[in-house]
Amino acid sequence: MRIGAKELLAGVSLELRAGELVAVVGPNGAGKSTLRRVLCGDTQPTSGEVWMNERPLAAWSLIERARVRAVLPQDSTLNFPFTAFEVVLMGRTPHVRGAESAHDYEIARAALAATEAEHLTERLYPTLSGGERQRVQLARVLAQIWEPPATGARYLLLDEPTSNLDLAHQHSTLASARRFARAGVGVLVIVHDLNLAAQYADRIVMLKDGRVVAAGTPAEVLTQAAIRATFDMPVLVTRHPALDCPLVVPTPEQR
Amino acid sequence: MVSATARIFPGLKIKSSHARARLVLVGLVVLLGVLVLLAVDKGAVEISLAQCLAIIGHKLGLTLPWPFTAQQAATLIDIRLPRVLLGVLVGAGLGVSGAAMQGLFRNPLADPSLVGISAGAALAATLVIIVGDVVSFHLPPLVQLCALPIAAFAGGLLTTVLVYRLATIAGQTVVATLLLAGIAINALAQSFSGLITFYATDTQIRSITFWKLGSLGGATWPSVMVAAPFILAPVLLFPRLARGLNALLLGEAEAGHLGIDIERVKRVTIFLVALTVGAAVAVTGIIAFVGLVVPHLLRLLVGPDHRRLLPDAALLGASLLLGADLVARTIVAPAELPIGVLTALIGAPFFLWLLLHDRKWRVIH
Repeated sequence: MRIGAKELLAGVSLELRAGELVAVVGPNGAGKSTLRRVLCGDTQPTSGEVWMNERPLAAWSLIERARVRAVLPQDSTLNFPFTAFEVVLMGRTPHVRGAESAHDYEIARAALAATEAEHLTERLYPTLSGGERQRVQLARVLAQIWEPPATGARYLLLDEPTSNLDLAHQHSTLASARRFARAGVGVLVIVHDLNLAAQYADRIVMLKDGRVVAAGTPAEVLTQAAIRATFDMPVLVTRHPALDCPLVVPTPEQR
Repeated sequence: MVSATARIFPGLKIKSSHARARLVLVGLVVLLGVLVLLAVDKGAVEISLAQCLAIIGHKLGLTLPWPFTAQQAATLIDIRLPRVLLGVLVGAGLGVSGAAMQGLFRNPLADPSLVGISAGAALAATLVIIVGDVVSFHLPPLVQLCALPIAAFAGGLLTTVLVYRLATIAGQTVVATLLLAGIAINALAQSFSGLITFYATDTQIRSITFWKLGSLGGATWPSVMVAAPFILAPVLLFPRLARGLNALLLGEAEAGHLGIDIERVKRVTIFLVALTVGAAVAVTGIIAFVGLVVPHLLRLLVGPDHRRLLPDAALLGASLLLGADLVARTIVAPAELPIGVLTALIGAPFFLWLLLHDRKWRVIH
C-alpha cells in the first residue's frame, strides 16, 4: 500500500508492506487521521495516489476493498441494541451473500477471543464501556480480514485503537495487531503512546504539520532530538531495560 | 429499564436467537391471519366465516352450503374486503418504512409522521384535491385516482430529502435538528392546508379533514388497486436493503469500509419510504405513530437486525392497523372513530415514554 498526497498532508510517501506493523505517531493535528482517511479511500488526495496490491485504489470497487482491507475509525457511535457478537459478525459483511455461514460464526467467535472480549459475546453493545466497545469494534475489523484472500495481501488500518483502553488491554490490542502482521497482514496503527509504538512497531512514521519528519525503525525514529522537535517536549530516550527497543521518558521542565 | 427488556431472554445462545426470530415471524403471521378473519367477520353487519367462504365461493361460481343474505354479500365484497386489504397494505407499508427510516437516520425516533413526511405528502394530496376539482372533468377516473398517490409520493419525496439534508451534518444525524425540522415542516404544511381550507368549498373541507385524521373508511377496490403496487413493491424491495441498513447503523464511514455503497442505500431508502408513505397517505390520510411503535416493539423481540426487522415490521404494522381499525369501527358503532385519532392516542404516550425512559439508546442526545 503506497501513497503520495498534499496540503493537509504534504509530500507524504508511505509504503505499508504485507507482514509489517507500521506505527504512525505525531502531535494532535499532524494529519495522522487524514493520512488514514486517504489510505482507505474516504478522502481523495488532491494530488498523488494510493495503490493497493499493485493497483490504484481508485480502480478497486468498494466491496473488493472491503475484502482485503479493514479500517477501525477513531470513534464509532452505535446506539442500537445489537449484541457484541452481532457487531463482530457484521465484519463478515463483504464476504457474505445471504445469511452468514457456520464458518462466519466461528470467525466472529475467534475474533472476539483474539481481543479478549469473549465474555462480552451476548452483551448489548450500547451497555458496554468505552474500552469494551473498542475491543468489540477491533474484533469486528479483525473478523473482516480474518482469512487471506486468493491473491494479494490484507491490510489493517487502526486509528487510535488504544485510546479508551486500560494498560493491559493497550498491550493486548497491539499484540493482536502484531500477530496479524506476522500472519502476513500489512498493519498501520495510529498511536499516541510512543512506548507502545516502540515496543510493537517494525517501523515508525513520525508526522508533524502534514509532513513526515522521520521514518524508520523505532530506534532510528525515536531519538531525543526528533521527539523534542516534533512534540515540543523534552524527553530522555534510553534502552528499554527488558526489551530490545527504545524507552521514552518525558522530562517536562517545570514540575 | 431498557436493559431488562432490551431483548427478551438475552442470555439465550446464538443458535436459539434464530429459533426465536422464526418463532416471532410465525407468531406475527398467525396474528395477522387471526386479525384478518376478525376484521372480515366483525362490524355493523355480522358475517360468519362460513358465510364469508360461501360469498367468496359464490363470486367464483361455487355453491357452498352456507346461506347468506344479499346485504351480507354486498357488505363483504364492496366494503369489508377492500377495507381489510387496504389496512394490511397501509399498515405493512407504514411499519416497514418506519423501520427503514429509523435505520437510515440511525435513530429510533425517526417516523414518517413525526418528521413531516406524511404532512408533506398530505399537503401535496390536498393540493391535488383542490386543483383536481377544477380540471378533473376533463380527465378519466383512473388518472384522477393515480394523480393522488403520485402527488403524495412527490410531496413525501421532497420532504424526506429536505428533512434528511437538514438533519444530517457530515454524515451524522442531529436528532434535535431532525425533530425541529419535523415541527417546522408540519407547521408549514398545516399553514398551507389552512390557507387552502380558507378558499375551499364544504365538500373539499370534508376531504381535507379526512387527510388530517386518517381513515380506512374510504376504502374501495379502485383505491386498493391504485395503492397496491406503490406499497407492495417497496415492502418487497426493502428487505434487500437490510444488510446495508445494518452496516449503516455502525456509521457511514464504517459501512463504506465494509463495502456498502452507502449513497445508494440512502437514495433507495428515501425513494422507497417516500413511495410507500405517499401512497399510504393518498388512500388513508395521515396515520401517525405506526412507523414509530412497530419497529420499537420488534427490536425488543428480535433485535435491531434489519433482515428480521423489516419483514416483521411489515407484518406487525399490518396487524396493528387492522386491530386499530377494528376498534375504530366497532367501539362507537354504527359511527366510527378516525383511525388516525386512535393510533395517535396509543402512539403519543408511547413516544413520551420513549423520550423519558429510553436513555440507553440516547435518542435525545
